[in-house]
Amino acid sequence: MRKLSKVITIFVMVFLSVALSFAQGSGDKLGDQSKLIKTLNKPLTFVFIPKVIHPWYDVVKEGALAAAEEFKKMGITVNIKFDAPTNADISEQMKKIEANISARPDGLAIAALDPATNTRLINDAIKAKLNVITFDTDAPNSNRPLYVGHSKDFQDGYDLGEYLAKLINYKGKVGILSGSLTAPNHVGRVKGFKEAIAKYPGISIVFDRPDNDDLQKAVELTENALQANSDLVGIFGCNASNPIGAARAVKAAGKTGKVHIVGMDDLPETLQLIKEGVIDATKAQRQWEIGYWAVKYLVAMNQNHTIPAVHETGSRLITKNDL
Amino acid sequence: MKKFIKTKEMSMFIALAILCLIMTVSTSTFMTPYNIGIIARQISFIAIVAIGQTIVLLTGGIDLSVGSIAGLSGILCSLLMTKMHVDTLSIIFISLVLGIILGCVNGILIGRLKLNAFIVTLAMGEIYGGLILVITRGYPILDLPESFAFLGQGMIGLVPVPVIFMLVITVVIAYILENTPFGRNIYAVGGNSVAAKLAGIKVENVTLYVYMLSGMFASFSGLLLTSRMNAGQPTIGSSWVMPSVTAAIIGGTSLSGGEGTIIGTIIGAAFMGVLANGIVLLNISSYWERVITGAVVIIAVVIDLLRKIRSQKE
Repeated sequence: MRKLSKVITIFVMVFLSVALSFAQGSGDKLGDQSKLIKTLNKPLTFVFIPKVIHPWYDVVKEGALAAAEEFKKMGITVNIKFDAPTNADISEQMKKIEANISARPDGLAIAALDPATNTRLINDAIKAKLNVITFDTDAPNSNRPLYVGHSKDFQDGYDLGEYLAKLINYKGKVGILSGSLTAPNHVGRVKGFKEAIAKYPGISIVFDRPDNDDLQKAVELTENALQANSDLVGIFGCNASNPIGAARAVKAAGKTGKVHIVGMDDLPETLQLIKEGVIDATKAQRQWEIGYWAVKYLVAMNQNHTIPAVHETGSRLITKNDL
Repeated sequence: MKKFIKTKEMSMFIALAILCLIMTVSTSTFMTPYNIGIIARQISFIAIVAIGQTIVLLTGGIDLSVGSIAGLSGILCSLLMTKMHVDTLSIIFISLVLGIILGCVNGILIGRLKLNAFIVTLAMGEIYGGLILVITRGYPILDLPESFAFLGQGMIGLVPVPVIFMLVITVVIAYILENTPFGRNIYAVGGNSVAAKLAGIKVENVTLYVYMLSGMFASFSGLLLTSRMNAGQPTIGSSWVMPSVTAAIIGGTSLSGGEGTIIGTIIGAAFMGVLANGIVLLNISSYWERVITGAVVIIAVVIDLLRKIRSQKE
């Protein structure tokens, strides 16, 4: 009899503890969404793979480092590495991306040099269970969860076309330095510029030459264009280096103010030339923001937060009045 | 065996083995199937071009048009596949013939008209490279057939398909160079073309054939990379010229001709591939990559020189 009561007591106690643990468990499952967020207990390493080594990306890096600094104050260590191919060559970039997938960083940000090829690589990396985003230039058909950057290239070219047209009173000869024929952002801006100019029958485009993002080449092309067209009134540069190249040639020829220059970005020399009045206006991307937000979102992804699919960082017009 | 140990191929092979050992010990990510797979595939594209380059270098010439031939072939083949729906097997054949034709122009200008190889191939490279832009206007050619992807992206077991092509080509060409009259003629022309002529070798023909072979391999490699890229890229091959020469030089091929082997070139290409991968895995700034590659070439040439001096003393 005593034996039986012992057995029953044990049975009841086991039943109660099991029932209690279930009750506790079900209470956990419902509601508390904060449990979905993972705490980070190790330093994070993020790798950025730009299209090419270029001072433009140094500003992206500054933004990325600033975000890392903020996280440091919160007790989260983020290591940032930029690993750019030395040439803007897709097979070189592919090697970099593949090797960095091998290194298994906590986050991988890729600037698509060519969306068709990058799409497959990005999907490879995602299949390898890495956190992959695109920055600067997107690969929209890939499975990337997020793109951080400025994608309105056509609009930038169009706006600069409008600005230049107004400067030259909607008449005269203008020229285009068209950058790299294979870079979609250069191509987009040139297309936008041409479309804006096409509205004004008084303006004719007398030259359209690729400088391949090479400063010296841009200088030479502009020198030749000034020789061939003594009545040139405007030049459009579609990347960060060619408005500088055009400005150097125009300045050397003593045609500052006679030949108006509009172009892209805000490298230190560009700003100096705007101050001097050699360059009239540029559209500058806010690439510091690209680096900053890329790091913010990559940390968020590691914490299992939700993120947007696109973060548009925009661009702004810079003229002498802004400096 | 004793002879092989003394060769420069062996010293490069030892250097490659040491490099791999360092990488295995210092990183946990080097010796993984994925990483070895990507290195092997990356090497194979450049190695196939470098095999053609080596054959040309053996005759004392140089082919600076390999990159543009690869690119032009990649573009033309992409167009044939997307516009005329040519199947994969035929496109391999077409790309080989195309490469031979493009290389043939080099061969005729250099062999028959006795023009300087450096200048001819530099200029032809510009022409072919320009034609790529004329045809594509800079845009990649997309929507290649699914079946074509196998050439550059496929795997047979754990081995990427381009690696198999590289191995087959290596064995065939190494055999031809060592065991056939044509192979011996190539070395003879490079060693001393006047003596070769006196010995009854048709130097013009040998010259013509080596540029045809170089064009053929460049073109084929361009096709493989097109498949790997999943698109006919206008920039395919544009950065291949120097690496193809570098791989041969690291592997012991002499720029003055007559000296070098295919095995050496493959080892040279592998060394560069592992080095580039190591720079990423070891977290070395990419700014240093070209500095290091350049230094390796200088070291390889100096070691080769020291080895020569020692063997002369003996």
